[in-house]
Amino acid sequence: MVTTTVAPVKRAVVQKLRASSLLMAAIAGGIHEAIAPRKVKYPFIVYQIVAGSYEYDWTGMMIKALMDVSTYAVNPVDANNIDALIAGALNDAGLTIDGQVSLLCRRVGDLPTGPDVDSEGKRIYQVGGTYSIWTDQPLGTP
Amino acid sequence: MIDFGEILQGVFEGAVQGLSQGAQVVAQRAKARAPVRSTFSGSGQGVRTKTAGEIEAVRGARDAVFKAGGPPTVVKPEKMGEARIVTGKKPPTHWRERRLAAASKLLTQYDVEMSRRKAGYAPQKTALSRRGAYEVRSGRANSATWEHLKVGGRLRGEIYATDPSVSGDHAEAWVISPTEYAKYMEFGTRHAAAHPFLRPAAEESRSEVAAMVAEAVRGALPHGSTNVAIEIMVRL
Repeated sequence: MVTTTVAPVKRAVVQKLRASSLLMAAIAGGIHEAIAPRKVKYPFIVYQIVAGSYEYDWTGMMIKALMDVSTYAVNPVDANNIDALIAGALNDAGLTIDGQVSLLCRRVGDLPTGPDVDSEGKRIYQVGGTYSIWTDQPLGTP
Repeated sequence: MIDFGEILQGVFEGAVQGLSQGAQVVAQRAKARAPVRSTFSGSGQGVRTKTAGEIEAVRGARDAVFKAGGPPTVVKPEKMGEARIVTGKKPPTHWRERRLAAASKLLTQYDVEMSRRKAGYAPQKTALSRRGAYEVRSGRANSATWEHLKVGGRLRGEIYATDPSVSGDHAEAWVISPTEYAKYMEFGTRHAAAHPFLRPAAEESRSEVAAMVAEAVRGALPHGSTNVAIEIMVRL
């Protein structure tokens, strides 16, 4: 068996977000990793792995990942509503992760971000949170 | 007779000391992770981040000069990126002004070279990269850290750890990045992806800091009580 990294964790989080029909209906610009293209429509979601540490024991490996998930919207109410939907979808969610068992997916903090102005002069609101995701997997046989 | 109050006080003081060391570890990790733009050409990639080794080398050179006998007197502009400083003559102006003058000299050299290239001469190497010239021209590259003006490395240079503050039976130490744009680097913006450096440093150091606190507490416990076993559990 081959050990897997945080990549399946990212996939699982995006799958979980996509599974929420309310959330998908609320975002016109889709879900992007790290940064969204310039011309993408608001609102949209950006996610990024902040840290991913691996802890080994004799039989398995545990990944403790931190992930930021933010919403960008031109309206603060929309941004907060979508953020609440994201929190509803991810907080204490059972993620389906290839090769790993999901142990924990919990929002551990809000992002202290404020309004910004984009390249077209629109005022943009970034609202989001940090999620702690722990997974476990058996070690690969040599 | 065992004075538990005294033991607890010793344990707490040990924990605070361990916390202080731990905060320094987190600050060092955050510095190693903080992105730094290089404004000097020669990397072959235009803008790049300086490695932790380069930052340390510059700091080491600067420290050596200070230990050798006070602040530097003459800065060779072409060597600014390597922090090569020559002592000797008394400086005509304050160090900060000289640094600015050095940066503008580099910019003049860059502009002259660009004019030469436009006139059809073969290109020659400039000290500043194109991005570096823009940063010096716009003033973005100039940053004052600990009252010393330098080019690049501001985010990394300004990270520091506070001494633990104690209130009652609670102690906390902070690792702070006071640079205005640190928030944008840590959390990202609409225009730029995040380059987290504080939270990864804290996550990576968690178990190490816990071990340091436990070790400090163990050291603070009174010795000689061989029949007493104490399990130390640290939660961060």
